[in-house]
Amino acid sequence: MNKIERDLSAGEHTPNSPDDDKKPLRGLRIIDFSWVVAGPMTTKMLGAMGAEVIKIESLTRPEHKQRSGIFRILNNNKRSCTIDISSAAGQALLHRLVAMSDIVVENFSSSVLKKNHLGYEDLRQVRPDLIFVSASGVGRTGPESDALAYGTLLQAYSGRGGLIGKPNELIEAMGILPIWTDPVTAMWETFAVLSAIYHRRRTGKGSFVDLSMLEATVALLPEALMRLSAGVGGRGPGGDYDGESAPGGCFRCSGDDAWIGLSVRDDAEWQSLCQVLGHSSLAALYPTHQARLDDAEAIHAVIAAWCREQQATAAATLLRQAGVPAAVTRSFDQVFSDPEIQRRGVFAQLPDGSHNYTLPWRDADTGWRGDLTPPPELGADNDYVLKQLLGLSDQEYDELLAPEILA
Amino acid sequence: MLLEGLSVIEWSDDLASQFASRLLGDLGAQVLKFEPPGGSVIRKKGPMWPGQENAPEAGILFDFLNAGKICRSIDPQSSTDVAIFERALAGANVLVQSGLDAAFASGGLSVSQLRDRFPQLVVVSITPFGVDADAGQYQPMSEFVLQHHVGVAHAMARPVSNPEAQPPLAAADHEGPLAVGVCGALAAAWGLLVVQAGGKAPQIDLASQDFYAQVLLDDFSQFAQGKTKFSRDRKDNPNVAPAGGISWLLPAQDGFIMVSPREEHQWQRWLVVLDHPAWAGEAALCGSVAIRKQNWAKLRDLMGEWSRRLPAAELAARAQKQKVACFPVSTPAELLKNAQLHHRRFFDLLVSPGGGAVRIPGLPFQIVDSSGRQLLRERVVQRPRTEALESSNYE
Repeated sequence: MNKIERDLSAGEHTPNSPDDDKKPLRGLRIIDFSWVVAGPMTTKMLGAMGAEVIKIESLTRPEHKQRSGIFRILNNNKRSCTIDISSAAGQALLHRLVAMSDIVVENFSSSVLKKNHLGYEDLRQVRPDLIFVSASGVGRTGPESDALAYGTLLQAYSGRGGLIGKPNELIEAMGILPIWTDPVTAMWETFAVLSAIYHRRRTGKGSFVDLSMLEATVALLPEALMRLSAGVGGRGPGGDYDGESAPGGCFRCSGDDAWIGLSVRDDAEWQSLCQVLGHSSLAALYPTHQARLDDAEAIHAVIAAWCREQQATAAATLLRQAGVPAAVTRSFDQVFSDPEIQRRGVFAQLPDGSHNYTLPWRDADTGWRGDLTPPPELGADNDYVLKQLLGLSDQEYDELLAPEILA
Repeated sequence: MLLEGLSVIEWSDDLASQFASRLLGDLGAQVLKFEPPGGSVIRKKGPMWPGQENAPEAGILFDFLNAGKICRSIDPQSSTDVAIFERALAGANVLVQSGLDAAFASGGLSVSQLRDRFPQLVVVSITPFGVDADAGQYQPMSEFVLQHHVGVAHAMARPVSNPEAQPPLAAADHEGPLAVGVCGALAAAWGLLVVQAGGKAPQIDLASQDFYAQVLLDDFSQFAQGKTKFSRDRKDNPNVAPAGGISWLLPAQDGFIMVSPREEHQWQRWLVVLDHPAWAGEAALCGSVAIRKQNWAKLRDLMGEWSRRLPAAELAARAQKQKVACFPVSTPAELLKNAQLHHRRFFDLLVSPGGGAVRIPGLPFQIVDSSGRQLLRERVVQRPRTEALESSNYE
């Protein structure tokens, strides 16, 4: 039996489902110690591709009891099993479970799994071709490897906050509120896991992945770093500037917090803009990109005065029809209800009526966007994991309950 | 190393696609980039290499996005060139494309035909709105404008005290399209696994619009809980401000820090860092998380009086020593000198046209397989190499 066949025969799945060929992780089992956002988002995606994800949780940790809010959109496609990882009996169960699994995903503080004999070096002894993904704030090595980190703080530490806006004590308009580092980390993490699976299926080798959320964020900020490193100076894109337009930016329109984003990237778009503004003479006054950059403030004032009198949707439509890139600055509720977003299945409705997000891409032939099952209740799959997978008898199971191993 | 032996063909003119194929190359695939006559428009995107401002072969951004690739120019109108392109695809595993149908239309080539002809080929199509969208509906569109259209700009500047004076803002640097590119790479890996498992090679339809809508997790989470209106005004967002008793941004002698003593035990240790100021004992000021949320602004000012006397790095080190989450607010210059990033050999070195080297961000993970083989870090990466058609080994 080759690696793929072994993977595909190892786990539970419904045979001959019409989407089976879209789920190449069928047969793979993931032991998921991760929590908060990035790790759960990663394992949700892996579950959507067919992997069996078993979330290892604790009845005694208050954060694991919190299953509303963002938990519900990050923990689909998973089972839940409660095991006390600090007990020897719990660790023994997990060693047995990992031995019949393929991937471990974790994002604990630096020493938690090691001190509980659940680190990569421990677990590779029971599963030599294990793929073990350890995600952390700044990485598992280096002078700050023990640092306690949260995503919002990493968004400041990564430098991106200062590239969006000016750091300020109100933490306003500098991109700190929307969760960014976490979902971006999840993309990198899933890429690493899928590539490691591909490698394992070809070579039989497992992998250890040490992923830094700080690096995952900084990796997407090349221009600011390269400008400095190359000594060319100037400003790249971010916040109110797109790095290529003259003019461009965000302009206030008539109505409650109504804005449009606008870019003029070349002379043709500039001439079109001037016509829409009713200032055709401006086109000749600033015929080049550089001339428009040099007098950006004056040009922006003209655009701002025009926009202030316009309804945002009408202004954006008028500009686009004239060949100028422009769009209304929309809030999430407007984006969610966009017929195109709905048509493409970006968000899906579960049988209980709740909405959830799907895989970020779709299969062009069928529109498939991954499996999507409701998140599990805490410990809902203890019986499945302990009795069905590990083969514990009722008596053995009960014996684990008394000393609170399943806690 | 993980994707060694794979062949990736790229035809694209956008940052996301070029970054996606670059990442597949970083993990070991060989990437052959085809460009139209005159080259990709990204070549002319600034900044330019010093000394090459007037006659650039390519700017620094293009070289970053395409490091390690082999580039070849083909004319989609030329049947000879199209035949060469098709021969390259015959041996390839992945095609990353944007705009292929439009470019090759007059030559009679389409993605659909290519998939019929090369059924092994995983096709990654990255577009603003999807391969089946009405292309004209929101055209013309720029990346900046797209981020306004799909809610990113609204979220990046929310909440604010004065929405009238604080406009919506796009994401930092190129992180928007590059994040889409990471997603493109992971989707390509999914497609490769589908083929590896014996399935039909898929065409991946990745729309930037879809990605951005999903990445707004906070907003969607609140929407899923029944929130229907998303105001940017701070007074309408009492429970979502990152400040407000959970995190603070405080002034330092030389910049800022962000600190988050969000749990009670962390708060107690943070008071140790602050050296137990007199106000720390005032229960009505800071006696619980709920009270600290009420008094966050006053506490910010009190803590700021202390923090502004010390350097940011010192403040962060003192806090972390007490197991309180705290980091400096970095500038790009500070990042280039960051000890943690250097220890982990995060930055790659991109060889410049003059033979020097520029620091560029590397991959955010260290990977070692069970045989001990490691993904290289702090690599010296070469600018993309342009090859003439005649010298190709890919036909």
